[in-house]
Amino acid sequence: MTVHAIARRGLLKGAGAALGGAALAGPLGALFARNAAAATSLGSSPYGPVYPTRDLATGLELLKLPRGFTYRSMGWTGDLMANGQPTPGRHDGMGCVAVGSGRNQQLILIRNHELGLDAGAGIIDAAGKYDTDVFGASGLKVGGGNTNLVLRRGGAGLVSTQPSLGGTIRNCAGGTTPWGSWLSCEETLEVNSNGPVDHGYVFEVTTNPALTSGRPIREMGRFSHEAAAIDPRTGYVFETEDARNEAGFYRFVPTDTSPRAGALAQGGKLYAARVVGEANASLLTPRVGDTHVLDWVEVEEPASAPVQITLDGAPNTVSGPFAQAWAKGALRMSRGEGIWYSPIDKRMYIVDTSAGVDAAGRPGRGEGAVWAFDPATNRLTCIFASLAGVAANNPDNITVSPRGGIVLCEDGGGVSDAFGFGERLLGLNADGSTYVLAKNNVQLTADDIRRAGKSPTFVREGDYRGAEWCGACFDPTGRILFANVYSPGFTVAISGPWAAGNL
Amino acid sequence: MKMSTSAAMLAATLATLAGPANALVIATQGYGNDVAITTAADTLSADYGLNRTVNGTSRARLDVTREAGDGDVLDFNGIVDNFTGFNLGTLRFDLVGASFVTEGTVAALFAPGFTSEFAATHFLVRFENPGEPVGAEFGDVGFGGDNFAISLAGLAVGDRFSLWLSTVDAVPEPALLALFGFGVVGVLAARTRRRAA
Repeated sequence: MTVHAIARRGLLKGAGAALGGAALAGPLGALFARNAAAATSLGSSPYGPVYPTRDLATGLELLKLPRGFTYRSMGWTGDLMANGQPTPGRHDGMGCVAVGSGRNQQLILIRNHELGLDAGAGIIDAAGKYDTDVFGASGLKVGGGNTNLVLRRGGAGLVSTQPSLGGTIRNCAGGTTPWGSWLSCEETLEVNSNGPVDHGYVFEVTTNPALTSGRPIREMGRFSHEAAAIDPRTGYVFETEDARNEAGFYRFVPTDTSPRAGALAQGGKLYAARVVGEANASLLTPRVGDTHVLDWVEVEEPASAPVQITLDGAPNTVSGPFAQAWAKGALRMSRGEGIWYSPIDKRMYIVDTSAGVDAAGRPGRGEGAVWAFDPATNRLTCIFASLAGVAANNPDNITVSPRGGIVLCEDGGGVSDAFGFGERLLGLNADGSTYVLAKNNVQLTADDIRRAGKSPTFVREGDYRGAEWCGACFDPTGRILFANVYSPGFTVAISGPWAAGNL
Repeated sequence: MKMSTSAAMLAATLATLAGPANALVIATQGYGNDVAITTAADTLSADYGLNRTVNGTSRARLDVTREAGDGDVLDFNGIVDNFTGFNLGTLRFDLVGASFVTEGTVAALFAPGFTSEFAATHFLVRFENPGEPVGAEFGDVGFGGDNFAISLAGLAVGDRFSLWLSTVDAVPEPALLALFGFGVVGVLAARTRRRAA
C-alpha cells in the first residue's frame, strides 16, 4: 500500500469568516479593555434561542439547544462498563484527549465521578486504585474516581467505558495535561480511619487505564481540590481550592518539567498566591476590571493536615496548605472552581463559583465571577461578575474552545429565564454578557427510562433540570463540545454551526 | 494506474502518487480543502477535510488514470470531515469518465438522518434538518459496512476519470428567512426598475 496525505489542518474553521479574526486576539480581548458593570441579565446569543431538542441516542428531549445543534448522550449511570461494573454516577469534571491519528484515531474522555461513601456504589475496579479498604465504621467503600469513555473517530460512537481510577473520594474536576493525561482532583479532607488513609489529593489518570498508578501526588497539596491547569511554557500547574472563603490559589512547580505522564509524581514545590502590596487580600467580592499582581509564597508542608486558625474573627478549620499560606499573607478566594488554560491568549480562566454577596450581604455567597490570569505577568483580572442568577447561576467548571470562546457550567440549582427552568451552559460574549448555549431539560418518567434502555436501578424517574452541568471540554478540532449532566449522570456530545458564534 | 497531468492542474494543489503495479496514481485538487489519499490494490480511499466554503459550497476533485494490471472494478471509501463551522445540507459525489455500480454504506455522525440518491454518474446525500456539523463516512472506513464500487470497464489503460466531491451548507432558518427577505426585496426592486423604465 502506498500512502500520500496532504497535511490535514484538522481544526474547525469559520472564526476568521465569522469574527474577522477577533477570536485570535483572545476570547475576551475586549473585556480586558472595557470598564463594564457586573452582569444582571442575559445578553443575546450569537446562536439564537434554545429549544427542546431530541437526543440522537435515546430520542428523549434531554436538552434545549439552539437551532442547528444536535447531540448524543452516552455513558449513563448504570450502563455496563468494559469490566462488567455499572458506570458510577455523579459525572463531574472531564477532559478530552485524542489518541492515534487518521482513521484509527480515538477520542478518550477521562471523566470524574464525584462519589464519596455512597451505598451501592462500591470501589471503581480500575487498575489504579488508591484506598481500597472500608471507610471507618460505615462499612461503605470509597466510590469516587474516574472512567474513560473511548470514542471512535468522529466522536459519534462510544466504543467502551473503562474504569480508570478507583478508591478516591469526591473527584470533582481536574485538568488535561499537555501530554494527554488528566489530573483528577479530590475535593475532600476526609481520612479513612482504616489505615489511616488521608484524602484530598491530585491523581494522574492516563488514557490507557493500565498505566494509571492510583498513587496521589502529595506534593501538589492536600486540600479540597477542584481543578488544575498547566502552563505548557513552564510546566507549572495552577490549582484551585473549593473551600468557602478559605480557598487559596496555588502553583505547583514540578521537579521534572518534562511533558510526560509520571513527571509530576517526581515531586516539586507548592506555592500559594499573594497579592503584591496587600497581605491576606480577600477576593470574595470582585468587580469587573479588578486587577491584582500576584507573587508566590512557598507552602513547605503541602500534605499537612487541616488545622484551626482564626479567620474573620472566629475559629475555622482550614486545609494545611491554606493555613501555611495565610500566615505568609496569601490571598483567599470564595470558592475556587474550574480553571482552564487557553492556548489562544496563553491565559488561565478561573471561576470563583460564589464570589459576590447574597441578599443578606454576606461575602462569598454571591452568584460567581470569572478571573483571567496571565502566568507570564502574574496579573489576575476579573473579567466577569454575576449579580443575578439569570446572568450566571454559580458557574463552576469552565472550558475554552480551540477558537478561544468561553463556556461556563452552572451549578446553582437552576434558573428560570425566557427558556424556562433549568441549569445552563453559558457562553460569554465579548461585551461581558452571558448567553444560553444549552439548557438542562432532563425530566424522566419510568417509561422514558425504559425506552432509553437505561437501568431503573441507577436512573430514577424525576425532574433533574436543576442538576449541575460539568465537565465541559471540546474535542481538539473544536467541532464537538462534550459535557456532563451531573445527575442522573450522563455525558453529551454536542455539535452544530459553531462558526455562527464565538465558540 | 498512472496520473494524467493537465496544464490546468499545474496551478492547483497537486499530489502525485507513483506506486507499484496495481497501485493508483492520483492527482488531487482541493480548492482550499484537504484531501488525504490511500490506495491499495483496487481500492481507493479518500479522506476530505473541508475547510473552505465558497458561497456555501465546498468541493474537491480526484483525477485517476487506469494503468495496466488494474481490475475492472475499483472499490471506494471515504471520510468527509467538516471543519467549515457550518452544517452540511447536501453532499454529492460525481463521476466523470467512469460509473458507480454499487452503492455503499453511509454513516452520518451528528445529523438526525439522511436520504440518498444513487445513480451511475453520482451519489447524493441529503442530511435531515439541521444538517451535518461533523461529517460523514462512506463505505468501510474501518468500522464495517460496504464500499462503493466504480466500474472501470469502459476505460483503456491510460484513460482518466474524475471523482468530484461537492457539498452545500445547510441553510439555517434565520438565513433562509433572510434570503427570502432579500428575494422579496429583489423582486420589489426589479418591479420598481421595470416600472421606472
